[in-house]
Amino acid sequence: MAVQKIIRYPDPILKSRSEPVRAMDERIARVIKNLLDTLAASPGVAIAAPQIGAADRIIVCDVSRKVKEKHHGRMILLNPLIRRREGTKIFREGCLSVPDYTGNVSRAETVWVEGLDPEGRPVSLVAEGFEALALQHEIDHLDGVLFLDRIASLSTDIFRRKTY
Amino acid sequence: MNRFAIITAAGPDRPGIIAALTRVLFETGCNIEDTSMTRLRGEFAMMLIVRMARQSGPEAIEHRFKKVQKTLNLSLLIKPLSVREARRDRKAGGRSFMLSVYGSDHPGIVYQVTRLLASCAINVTDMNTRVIGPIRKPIYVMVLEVDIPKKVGIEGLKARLRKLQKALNVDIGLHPVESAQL
Repeated sequence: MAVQKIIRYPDPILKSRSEPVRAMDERIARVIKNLLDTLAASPGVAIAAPQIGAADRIIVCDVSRKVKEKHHGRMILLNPLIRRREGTKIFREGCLSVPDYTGNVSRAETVWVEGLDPEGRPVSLVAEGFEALALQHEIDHLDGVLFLDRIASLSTDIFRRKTY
Repeated sequence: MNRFAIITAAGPDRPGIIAALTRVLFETGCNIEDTSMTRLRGEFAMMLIVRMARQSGPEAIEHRFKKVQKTLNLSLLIKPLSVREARRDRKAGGRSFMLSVYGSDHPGIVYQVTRLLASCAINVTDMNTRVIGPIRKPIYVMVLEVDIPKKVGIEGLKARLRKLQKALNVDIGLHPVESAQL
């Protein structure tokens, strides 16, 4: 158990759908531990299992070191699912697996997420703002979707003409 | 050794400009690296950094462009770059901010704003301006992405911008670029 190397695009695992966690076993426990260790050592606030080479539907998220707004602290979510989304916000995202590039991505402002905790108990939570964005980014990883698939607009052109 | 060049070109907008230009690059063995292209009213403007094949220098490429240039009415400039100038790992040294400036259009807005930035050694990394609103009462909108050196205080800079805002009769906003590594 240790800090893992973060997998970078074009590794095909980043464009693949990860498998649901069906039972808690030693391997899954190791993936979770590795995710936590790797996140702690990275500049990011969240990480998904495929980013360390495990095709399992597991994410960990902890926005506490980045924001002061309301959040859930450190979360470990297995088989997370977004049940409902509300609002939209464009935010500039980067990804540990796609270095040196950021893009404006449109995300929901609030998300209702369901999943399991490491003990297999159902979890249901409502996340807003930055935390909501992080969860959407990580859950996308479980479906092989990168922020590059969701670029909403090019860098600073927020005054794009509507008529020509 | 790699040889690089920056190509700037502009011409009346129409479908097929990029294809025509990049066909020449492809056929002369150039590899396209970073680009920025946009439509400015009726003109399409292109900037490309290319890595040139050993055998074809800027002159050879320019020669091949002649025909395309004529058909598409393009202005074109190829400037060789040193390997150092074309380096990919240029990191911005400071903090990234968005600066928005808007108000009734009058000459001097861009100059006065960028002069202030230059005097603080603030580097503009991206900039768009548009004239919007009715023909008789145009509004000027300018959006810049700037890199503010660590030694420049944000509050002090904001105070100077507020002064300029009054003098130019425009509205100026300065906001950190929020970005997240996820």
